[in-house]
Amino acid sequence: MSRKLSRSLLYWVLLSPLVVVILFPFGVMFVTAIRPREEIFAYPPTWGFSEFRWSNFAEMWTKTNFGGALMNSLYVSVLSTAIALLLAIPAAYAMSRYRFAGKGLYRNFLLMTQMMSPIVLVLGLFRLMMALGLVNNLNSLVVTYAAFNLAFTIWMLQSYFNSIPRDLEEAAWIDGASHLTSLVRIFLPLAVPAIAVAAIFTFINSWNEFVLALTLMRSSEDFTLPVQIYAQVAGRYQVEWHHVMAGTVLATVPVAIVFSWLQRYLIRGMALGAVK
Amino acid sequence: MSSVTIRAIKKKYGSTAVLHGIDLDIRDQEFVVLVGPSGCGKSTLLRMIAGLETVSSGEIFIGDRVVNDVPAKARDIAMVFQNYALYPHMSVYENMSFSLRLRKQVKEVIDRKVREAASILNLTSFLDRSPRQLSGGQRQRVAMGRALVRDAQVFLFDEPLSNLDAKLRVVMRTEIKALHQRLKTTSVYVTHDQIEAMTMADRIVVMNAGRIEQIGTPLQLYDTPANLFVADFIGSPSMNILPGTIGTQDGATWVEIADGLRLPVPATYAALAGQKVVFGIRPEHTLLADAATGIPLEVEVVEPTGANIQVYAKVGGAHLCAIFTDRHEFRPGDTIHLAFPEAKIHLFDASSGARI
Amino acid sequence: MQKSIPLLMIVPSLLMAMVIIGYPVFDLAWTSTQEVSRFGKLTGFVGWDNFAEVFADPLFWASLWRTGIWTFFVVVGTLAISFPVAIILNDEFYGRGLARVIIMLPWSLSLTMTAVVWRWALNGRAGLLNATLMDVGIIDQPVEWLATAGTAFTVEILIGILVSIPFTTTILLGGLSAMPQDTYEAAMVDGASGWHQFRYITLPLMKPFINIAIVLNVIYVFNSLPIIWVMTEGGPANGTDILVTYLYKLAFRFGQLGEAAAISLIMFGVLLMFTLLYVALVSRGEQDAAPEADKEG
Repeated sequence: MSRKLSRSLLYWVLLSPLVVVILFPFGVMFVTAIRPREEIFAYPPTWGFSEFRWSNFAEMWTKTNFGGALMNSLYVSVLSTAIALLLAIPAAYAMSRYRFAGKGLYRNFLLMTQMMSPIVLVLGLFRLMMALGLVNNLNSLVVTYAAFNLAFTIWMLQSYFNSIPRDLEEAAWIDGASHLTSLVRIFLPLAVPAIAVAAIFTFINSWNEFVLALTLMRSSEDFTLPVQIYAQVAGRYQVEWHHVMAGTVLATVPVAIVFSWLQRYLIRGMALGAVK
Repeated sequence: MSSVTIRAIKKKYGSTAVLHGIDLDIRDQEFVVLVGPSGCGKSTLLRMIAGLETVSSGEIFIGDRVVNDVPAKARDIAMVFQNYALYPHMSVYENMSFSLRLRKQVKEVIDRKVREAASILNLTSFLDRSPRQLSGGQRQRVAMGRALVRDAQVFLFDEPLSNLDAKLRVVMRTEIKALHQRLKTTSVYVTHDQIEAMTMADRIVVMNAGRIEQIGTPLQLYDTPANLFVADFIGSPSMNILPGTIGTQDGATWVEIADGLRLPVPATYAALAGQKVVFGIRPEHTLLADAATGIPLEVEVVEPTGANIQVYAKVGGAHLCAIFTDRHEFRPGDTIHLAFPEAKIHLFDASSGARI
Repeated sequence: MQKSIPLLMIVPSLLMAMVIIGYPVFDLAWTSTQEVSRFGKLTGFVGWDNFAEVFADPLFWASLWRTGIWTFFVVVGTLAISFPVAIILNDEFYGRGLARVIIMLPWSLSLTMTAVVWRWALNGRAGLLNATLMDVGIIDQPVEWLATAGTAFTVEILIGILVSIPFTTTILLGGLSAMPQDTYEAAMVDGASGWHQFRYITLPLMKPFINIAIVLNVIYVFNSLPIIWVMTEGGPANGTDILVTYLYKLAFRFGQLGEAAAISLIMFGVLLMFTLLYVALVSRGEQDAAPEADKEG
């Protein structure tokens, strides 16, 4: 047996407990979601199921207003990502390309904001949104998510921007391009991969956020997906678990797929980025 | 085509002064090389001419106009960068035509100019490729092609050959020089390699720690270096440097470098007897002599390069290098005798380093 | 004009961060010193009264203690598992791509979803965890995992570790992949064994990454609400409450906004102290292994 093969087997054996524990909830999700309702509460509990009850998904869609919550989540995630990017790209560009007074202060300020979790501040945020009249308004989430994602997005963009050689823009200036032209025609095309990655991460963060959505959205038609699914479980006497699991399947699988494709860029970003 | 004039240029980053007052007149059509060790300020000066760095004080003229406040894109200069700075998302053709497209030139004119430049540089078959697919030498040519297409008044080169391997460097050196002879555009070229400077320049500007040490033609710098720094910097292997004191007696004048070890020097120096000096002689100017007229040295290391033999030897506490083109069978430990022809001797003041 | 360009570029983000993030901090500080009605009306300055009530509240101390345990075990457990995992994933082996994808999966799920699914899986009667354990023969009776505080809290900690592994592994992988290969080769020539290499080369060079992983994880875990909230809401009977969940209940269930604000500030203060202390400890007598990859000027 080649060394690589025996090594691979060893590694997989070592990793297997973790792999099993990670895949376990996905198994639970799928099985419960496609099971007929009667079989969920069978005692003693088993993994077996008699048929693929796809209608669970359709039922869940209407019963739990899944479509509505989905639209809410989409609205919030897309808009907050767009705003975060709009503000972060120039900031990251400035941090990467310029030297200016206050740069260190700004960087420390961003670090501090990363340290503050929205959960600790949730009370203050709630009062802020009350003062702005935005409670129960999805825009409160848009604005909050954008703000809290700023630090991470700027950090990530900046470290990618640093790897784009400065002399490309200088060559463009010598070629006769204004600063704006060189930014748009030379820099941005090269920055697109980094921007895409940052955009997707911000999107996923917003999509998955729970506490703020729970606190700031008061009526169920404004719930985002995580809150909506939680609402099916919390404080209910009888929980329709097959619906709940069907909901989690739909809410998480697309994100998981996109994320799996993306995760290698995260590693590269961490290696490139500044270590404090 | 235009001249470049540098007047009293100083540059500071924060409180650190990098250029201490540079005056330089580059004539129209001249190929001037700025050479010096890392950190001497040559690249900074070049970038200031380009408009990529601001001027702290002083003036830069291109032709007759002061360009201190003129942005890079309006200075009508072209630049070849050390790392080529080719736009990775554009083809070679698009790289070369970018500046013309910015100026909204007619498509036929653009095409003609790009193809002209491409044929001069042997790039015609690469026009559709992307920079990724090219070798270092090819990329360098594209960078030059991009500059050529511009028809600019001044060409600036920022260490363009340092990323190429040794053989390629020699080839490209000649190509750049041939290009200049053909186009006759005023050129300013920065390098840390003194061989590039010597082979390519009409005039060389030797810089050190933010100041100009000497300006002159290659042979002027080689034959009459103004100070120790230039003497040591130009020429490879470097000039032999031997500290000593001038002495004179009975019509003979010498420099005494160690107890009893006297190197004869021309009688014109007799008036400076007692002065502490540095005696300089280039390795290629040393001559083999016999025991009577020459200075005895013990051979330490022998390096045959094929074209010549480089012999490192010591006498007293001093180390010397001598170069011979004939084949000699020297071994470490042998004693050889060397003489230094008076016409090739250089003397420098020991404290200031200035030529005497 | 030149000078102000970069400033213009950072001003919008600066403003947004200051308003959305800065304002609540000040508001909390202000609120914590006020008597607050159920509906959020500030009715009078009471100085330290809110804090006094908080410190006199046994549930606060219990939550504080539990927060310490929660943070400690999750962070340490995560690090202990992530390090070997990162080392394995850094090496080349068949199926490595697949392994990486699987290990990263928990990060893509929202904490809430994860907690919801586990809550179901841990269901005493019909949960599939019991089913699996019984099938495999580890237990012969179903266990009511979430019914008692002890087991519930333990399970929550384990799940906390599980969801933190991808993030920590990513950080450590980033560090491992930047390890200079020739240092190891020099060590091998010098006669160092695998263990020596690990102890004298890998560990010291990984210190900055380990430190970042610790600091970031402590911050996230300390503040983490969804897992405990979804699984037990801090119950049964406040048995699994950590500071965040307790604070949340005080603010949004019992209307005691003054005390909630006070607790928020206390939490923030604890975290700030920890970060400052940790950074000071770490930077004393230690150079960064990796210089900032920043280009200036």
